[in-house]
Amino acid sequence: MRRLVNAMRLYSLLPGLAQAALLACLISPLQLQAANLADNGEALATKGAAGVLACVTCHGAQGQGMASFPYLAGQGENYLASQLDAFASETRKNPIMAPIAKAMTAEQKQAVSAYYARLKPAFDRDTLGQLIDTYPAKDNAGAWLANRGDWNNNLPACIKCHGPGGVGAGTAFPALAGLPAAYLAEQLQAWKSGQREPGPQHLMGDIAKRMSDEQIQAVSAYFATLPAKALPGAEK
Amino acid sequence: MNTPMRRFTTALLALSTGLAASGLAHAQSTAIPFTPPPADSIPDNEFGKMVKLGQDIFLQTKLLASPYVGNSMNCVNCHLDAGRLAGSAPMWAGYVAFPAYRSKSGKVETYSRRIQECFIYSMNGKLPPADSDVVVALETYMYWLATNAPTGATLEGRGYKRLPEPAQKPDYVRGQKVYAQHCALCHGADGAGQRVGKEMVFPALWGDNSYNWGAGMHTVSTAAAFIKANMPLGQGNTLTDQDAWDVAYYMNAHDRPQDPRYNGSLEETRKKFHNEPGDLYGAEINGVVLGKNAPPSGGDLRSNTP
Repeated sequence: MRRLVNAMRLYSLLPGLAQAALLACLISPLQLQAANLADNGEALATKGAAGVLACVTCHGAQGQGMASFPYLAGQGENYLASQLDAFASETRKNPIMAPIAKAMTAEQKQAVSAYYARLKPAFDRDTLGQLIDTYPAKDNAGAWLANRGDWNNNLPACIKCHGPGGVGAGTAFPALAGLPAAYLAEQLQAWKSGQREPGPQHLMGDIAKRMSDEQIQAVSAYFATLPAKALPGAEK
Repeated sequence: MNTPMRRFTTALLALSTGLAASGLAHAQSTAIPFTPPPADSIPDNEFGKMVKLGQDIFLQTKLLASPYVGNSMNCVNCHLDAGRLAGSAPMWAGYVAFPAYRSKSGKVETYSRRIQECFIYSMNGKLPPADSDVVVALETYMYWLATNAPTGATLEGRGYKRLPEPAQKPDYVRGQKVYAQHCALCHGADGAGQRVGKEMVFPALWGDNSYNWGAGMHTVSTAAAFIKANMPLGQGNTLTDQDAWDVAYYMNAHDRPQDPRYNGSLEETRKKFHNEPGDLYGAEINGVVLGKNAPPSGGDLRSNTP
């Protein structure tokens, strides 16, 4: 017993870095595996790893996105993990993400997806999740497509799968609200030209092919500005 | 040589007379094409306000007509594009077909009555009074959708286009496979649907939160016709006819809220209201007698009724 106390005393005298190194030696790989997945994800997201740029570099400190880099916070775990796989296999073509995703192990992809899925989204999910604009202004083509669809071209309303306000639904349908317009338009164009794998049941691959370039621009602009507009008191 | 030929001609004649007498041939020969007014052209006046209210109730029925809705469904779940889409039981085609004799009730019914029935069966709820805002608004919206349509006409795209009888008898196991591949992503492996907050984004297909045993959709042929033309959403007419039959059978081979006309006897209720092929009410499937242990009709209105 005294020996243990002595050891602890000694340990507490060590500088922080040495403490960490000692701890690292004591933790077995098994224990590492069992450690909280999301915690591992956080480390990877904030610090990166060999060949893996820290996610925060482009996606923001809280995964809230930056410039035309999309937010990750609050997106479904399965959705995020499947996209990392798609970047790695280049079925979703992206020159920035391809080398990063290729350098990641399956465990790392899972961990970082779990971490971001648990972060608060960049919008108020409860408020925005009630937003259904059933009769948008006549000239707001984006709002019409998002809320009502364009059935002359067999296009269901986006919110039918992505949820009211585009807040995302279930694990397979990501949030769209507040994503950068440039990013959204680029994704729709990528589906249209086959540069991004068509998604579950080919849903988005099929849908994007039926969208006109004008519709892509309009609906991207609509979702990009949604959270700010949806805030209480904001002008509609 | 003459006799077989004559026989053939007679048979042909009989066949064509039979077809003409049936509603299907009638619909094919006289159906009139129709386009409802553009969705964004609701008049900006007092009449238009009621049209708009009806449209909103149609899209958010659970939210806006909650005293009469016992499940989490919205009219638009079965009548796509806010009731505008041909082949998805569009409201403009239904509107001009009423008043009509209905075998379900054995009476001539008005369109208001038809709308009320949806609340009792498809919405597993309660009958809204004919002069309630809910019925008046919905009917006004449907009247507006039918602007310039001839009354009494069969309009092209009415109802769900009935599928030819399947090559193979609809099958649970095949249907289950179709369901896993094409439906579970949205409606869930358990058929319970998926919500975002309070809003049901993907409707429940069976169970206490779905349509009850009195709704039209519980008939396998109706469900198969709807599914073939409209499901998966945005991928209508991609399933084979056989797949649509099989998955419709699978869906309706699960229990759902009791038929509101249930009189305490499953067998009597089955004989009186469900005595058609393709109606699985009272059938035993995987050891479960459908309807026997069904939750009472009324859904979440049950706890609200005194």
